[in-house]
Formats: sequence, structure tokens, C-alpha cells
Amino acid sequence: MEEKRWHKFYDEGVLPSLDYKNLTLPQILDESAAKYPNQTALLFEGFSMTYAQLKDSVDRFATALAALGVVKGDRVAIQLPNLPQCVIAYYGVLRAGAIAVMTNPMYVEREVVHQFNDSGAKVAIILDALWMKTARKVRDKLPCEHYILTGIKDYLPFPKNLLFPLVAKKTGMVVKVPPEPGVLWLKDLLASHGPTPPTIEWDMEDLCNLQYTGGTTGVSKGAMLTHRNLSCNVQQCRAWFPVVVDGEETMLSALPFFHSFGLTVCMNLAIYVGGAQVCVPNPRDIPKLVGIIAKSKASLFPAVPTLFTAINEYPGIEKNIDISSLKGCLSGSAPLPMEVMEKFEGLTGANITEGYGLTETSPVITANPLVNKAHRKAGSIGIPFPDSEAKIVDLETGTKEMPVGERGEVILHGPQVMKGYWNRDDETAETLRDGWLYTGDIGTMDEDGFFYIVGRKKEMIIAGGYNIYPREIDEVLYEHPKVLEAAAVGIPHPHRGETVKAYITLKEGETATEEEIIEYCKSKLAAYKVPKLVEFRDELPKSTVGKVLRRVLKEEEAAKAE
Amino acid sequence: MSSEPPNRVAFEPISRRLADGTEVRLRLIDPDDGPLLVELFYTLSPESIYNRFLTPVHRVDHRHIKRLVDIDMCIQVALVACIDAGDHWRIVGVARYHRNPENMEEAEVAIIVGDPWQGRGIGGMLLQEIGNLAISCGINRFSSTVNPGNAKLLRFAESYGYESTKKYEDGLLKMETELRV
Ligand SMILES: CC(C)(COP(=O)(O)OP(=O)(O)OC[C@H]1O[C@@H](n2cnc3c(N)ncnc32)[C@H](O)[C@@H]1OP(=O)(O)O)[C@@H](O)C(=O)NCCC(=O)NCCS
Repeated sequence: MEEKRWHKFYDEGVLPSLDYKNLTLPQILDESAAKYPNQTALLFEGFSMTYAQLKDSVDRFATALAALGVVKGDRVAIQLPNLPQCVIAYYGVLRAGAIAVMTNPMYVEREVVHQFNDSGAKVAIILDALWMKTARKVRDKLPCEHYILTGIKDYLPFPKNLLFPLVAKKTGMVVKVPPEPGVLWLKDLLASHGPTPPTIEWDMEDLCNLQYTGGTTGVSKGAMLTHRNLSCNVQQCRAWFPVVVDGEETMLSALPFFHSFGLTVCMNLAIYVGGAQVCVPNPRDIPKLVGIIAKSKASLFPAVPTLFTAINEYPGIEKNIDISSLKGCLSGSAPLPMEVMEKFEGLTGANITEGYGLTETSPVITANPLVNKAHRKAGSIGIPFPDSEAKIVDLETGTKEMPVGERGEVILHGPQVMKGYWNRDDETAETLRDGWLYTGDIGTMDEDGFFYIVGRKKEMIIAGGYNIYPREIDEVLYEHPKVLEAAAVGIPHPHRGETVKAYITLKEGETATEEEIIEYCKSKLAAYKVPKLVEFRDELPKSTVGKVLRRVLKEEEAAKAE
Repeated sequence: MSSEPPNRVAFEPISRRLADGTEVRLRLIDPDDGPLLVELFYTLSPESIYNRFLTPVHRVDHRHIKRLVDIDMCIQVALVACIDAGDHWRIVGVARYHRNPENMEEAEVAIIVGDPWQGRGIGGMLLQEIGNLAISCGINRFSSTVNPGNAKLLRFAESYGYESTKKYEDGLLKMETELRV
């Protein structure tokens, strides 16, 4: 790769260009299982599994999928929280040659129907409780031939597996699933199939994941990530973390696996480096999370600013809890305030680097250097990864590169950039031009080649690390029988970056409460998209020609905060 | 700097033909046009609605309709394009502008054509006539805040010779065009 201005800021040992192993993700698992058969691969609530056992389960599951008729190129949806089963299911799906469609466990019926149909999922692997709550209710609208279920307790050790139903009854996580045709259980399939999956002819350009991401049109679309994309990105992440010792790390997998960030930097990276990973299905339980760090002696912890902040503020964290095992952390999805970073580093002795990427880039493509703290810049998303490039181009045509310091659209290039959007040629053509990914983010680059995000080209809310498109929320609000007009707006929030607020005008003669609207949204939108606040108005602010002015609503909110 | 207090615009209805021979009549909007705007609304696709109002309006708000038809014809001006529908001339497109009260030489413009009639030249006709009308009233700049994903509009504006400066603000695209005589 030609010399770039940012290369001189790379940490020692990080090369501008890497010598990639041409291995698909299941081949990477094979390699780790061969090197570290007895090393712990997965940990969950006292349950543990070695690499040899993980590979065995993955192979059995792939064999079972093949027996169900899954062939290369079929799509298989996975809707599971961070549990050992999710890792087994994901690698099993890939080993069978299928394309994984990772699905947010928070999705409600409407969203599941869209994603399973858009991808054409032949099989879906779902947590039993989610099956009962969501997919089963809309089964007649789904294209899947088989549903493979698993329960949390399937991978709990004795006696927790026996106690679990008692604990979980309260939380609705324990369910009775009626036997029905086409509904199978993961643990039965693993028991009844040998570890003899069919041999797949791999091509690195084959699709590995359809990773769904929201859109300004109000419906989400599947980014086509190839084996090359995901394999290269995990190798790039490995290279960026020179502190990692293969075969010796413990990864705290607290970012959801269904999202590209958790998928690559937790699940896949842990497997690539032959590390143990602790599956954390609910990172918002902070007391539990810090307990897990202390107990597991986790060394790697990719997370989002909200989590670092919550740990910093956890009572007694400075004296009573030892989380000094942490040594490498990656923060993404929202700006990480310098004081949060410094406090966390002081608490743990770890290095945190802030990175940036999109679902479309597998996801990581820029980051600050991890080791040399003098080389990182506050407020910057860092410098491009090895073999990757970022550029700032003019907002109008996207063809002219902007001078240092001037605003423009951020465009990206590298081996981790997606192939396109599934069945959406127009949007692919708009987003991928001449091999460059047009992000829609507005940014600048400084003298040293560090990048900064200063705005967005499209209307988007970022709350708690999730990208939310106001149009999707508006669409749902407008479907409410009492609503005349609606506009969702992102308003500043101390921990979540932004939070969603809905402004509503009701039809004449109607009355409604905030709770009623929120409850309604909960039935139609995943929790993170649901407005946290609702304000009723006689009218929404509009421009003189009749266009809704979200900006005015935002400004009013900002003025109130002062 | 604002010009003389403007008077009500004058616009004699005109009749034009599309390339396929269909007759289109252009006239100023009328306070009684409410029902015809509602009729037009129901021909709009979700995309067109979103692009015009920047929110996915599902229902007609009669207060809003009233405000769109009941205008002073000097600060706010709107032209409609009508096609013979047998029993009445239905409105198939609307172009409107609203002058900036602080700078009367500037106006915000918006345009809509019902989906069944798009791509036949009606939008172009409306844009040209509303532009001429604006120029005759002393307006020299049009601005419009649009959805940056509205590729159709960007092409449309360009193909009718509107060279605009573009600015991205709060997820929207602000276009400004100098009007030339
Ligand atoms: C933008 C909009 C007003 C254009 O209206 P329209 O009636 O389709 O416009 P026209 O038919 O004049 O022009 C559209 C295209 O058809 C072409 N065209 C015009 N007459 C044609 C004919 N007889 N045969 C084939 N093509 C024709 C034009 O050259 C133009 O080509 P382009 O693709 O290069 O732009 C319309 O699409 C619309 O209402 N969109 C939704 C609302 C909106 O976006 N408003 C703008 C923000 S306020």
C-alpha cells in the first residue's frame, strides 16, 4: 500500500499492509481449535467449553443443518442474545455454507417479518422465549421452513440449570413451548448428529452475513458482508492490538453479537486469537458486569461509551472491585469523552482506543492508536486501519477531494467494505461508487490524517450506540388511530448521546397519554427505537411551504436544557 | 434590503400540451381548491409525500390544507396544474413559493406532482412558470430544503437548468438557486 500521511502514527509493530490469511471464519475456528484444543473458548455463568468442544458442537450443528436441507448460499436467521448457543449457531450456519442473518433479539413482530422475508431465511435459530413472544405469533407471515430453538438454561451448569426456571419465571424468560411441526431444539440436533458436516468449496468472495442496518427510507436493508470482509476485519483488529497474546486472552463479550461491532471485535476476534470469551447477554446489569470482569480476569473489553461511563460511576469501583486485569479496550458507535476514557484508564490500567466504522465496513475501519497515547487525538475517530483508506470529498458530487481541515463526506475503502445491499441495486449504486463506500457522515481530516465526524448528511438519531432513522418511528406513530401528525427527533442525552422524543398532534376530539403512545410504540418497534418522551402539540412547526421542521423542535429542546 | 411592498400577482390561466398530447391547464390556486388538493394527496406515493413534507404524513389535516389554499398571492403564491378528468379538471401538480419576509427578493419553493403523472413534463412546466412569476415579482433567489436522498428531485432540478448551491444541515439538504431573467 502506498505511503499515507497517517502511517507514521501507527503503533510499533502495526504494519500499513498486512499479509492476510485466506481463511473463512469457520476455517479460523478450525485453526484455533487445532492450536488450542484445550483452551477455554466460551464461558457463561460457570459453564465452560473448550475449543475442541466448540468445534465439535459447531460441526454437529452444521451436519444437522445440512440434513435439514440447508445448502451453500441459503440464508439462516439467528435471533439470540450473547450466549454460547449464539456462537455455536453462527459458526454452524457458516460451516454449513449458509449466510447468517443476525437478528436483534429486541425486534418485535413487524421488524422480524421484514427481516426474515427480505433475506428469505430458510431456517431461523431463536431463543425459546423470543419464539413465544414474537416469531411464533407471526409464523404464517414468515418464509422459514424450520425453527430451531434453544433456551438459556441449555448451557447453564448444574445446579443453575435446575434453579433457572425459578429465577426466570419472574422475568418471563422461562416459557413452555408447545410442540409443533417444523419446530426443533438445538440440543436435540447436536445430540442426534455427528460432527461430520459436508465439505464446502469456499471462495472468500462468498457471502458470510447479511447484516441489517436501518435506512432513511424507513426500512432496513441487508449489507452483504463476504468471508473476505469479516475475515480481514478480524485480522486488522488483531493487528491494531499489539498488546494481545494469542492463546492467553479473555474477552468480555458484552457487545451484542447480532450487531457487526460485537460480532467482529468480540466473538470473531476472541476466536481468532484463541482466547476465552465470557458471554454477557445483559451488559446493562452493571453490578453483575463488574463482578464478571473481576472474576473472569477479562483482559479485552470492546464496548460503547455508555458502558465505560457506567463502570466509572459504579459505587465502590475505585476501592472494592479489582478490574485491573483489563488491558485493551475499544470504544465505538458514539464519541468517547476524553474524561471518561482517562478515568477508565486510571481505574484499570488498560488502554482504550476509539474506533469508527459502519455495518457496511464489517465494521471497524479507523481507530486511534492503542498503545502510544501521545498519538491519539481527543474527539477524533482516528486513522485508517492497515490496507484501508478514508477520504473527505465534496458533499455535492463526491468526486473532489477536500483540502485538509475542510468539511465533506467521509468515504472509505478497504478489504472490509461490503459487496452491496441485498436485492437493492439502486441503494448499492448510490453507496458504493468506484469501490468507495459513501458513508453519509460529514467529517474533516487534519494534517496528520486523523479523521473527525462533524455531522450527518441524512436525518439520523444515535441513541445508546444504535442508529435510528426518525422516518421509521414517524411511520409507526402515524399508524396510531388517534395521531394526526408526528415527528420523532433526537434530543441530547447525557449517557445515551441522544434519546428519541416524539412530537404528536392528535386528531380533532381525541385525547391520549404519553404512556399510551409509548406502549403502542413498544408493540411496533424494538425497545431502543421506542420514544422515551412524548409531547403533544396543537401543531408541529412547519416551514412556510409546509415542511416539518425537526430542527426547530431540537432547538427548543436545547434551549430548555440551558 | 427589501423592495416595494408587492401587490397581488397576476397570472392569466394558460393551456399547454404534454409531449403525449394531453392538455394541461395552469392557473393560480384558489381558496376553493381544498377538495382538489385532498384528491391529489391520495395519488401520492409514500416516497413523494415524504419528499414533499419531510415526514410520512398518512392523513389529510384540513387545517393544513386550508393554509395551503388560502394564501395572499403576494408573499405566498401557488400555481396548480390541472388535467381534464371528465367531470372536473383535477389538480395533478402544485408549485408554490413563500417569500422571506426579511428579504423579499428571496423565496422558499416547493413542488409536487401526483405519482401517476410524474415524468411527463408537468413538474418542469410548473417549475418554469413559477420561476417566471417569481422573477416578474422581483424575486431573484429560490431556496428549498429537501431530503438529501431525493435523487429524483436533484436530477429534475438539474435537467431544467437549475444550478444550485447545496448545503447539508441537520440531515437535510438546503438548495439555493439564483433566478435569471
Ligand atoms: C420532483 C417532481 C416535482 C418532478 O415532477 P415531474 O412532473 O415528474 O417532472 P418532469 O416530468 O418535468 O421531469 C421529470 C423527468 O422526466 C423527464 N420528462 C419530462 N417530460 C417527459 C416526457 N414527455 N417523456 C419522458 N420524460 C420526460 C424530465 O426530463 C425529467 O428527467 P430527469 O430524470 O432528467 O429529471 C416530482 O417527482 C415530485 O412531485 N416528487 C415528490 C415531491 C418532491 O420531491 N418535491 C420536491 C421537494 S419540495
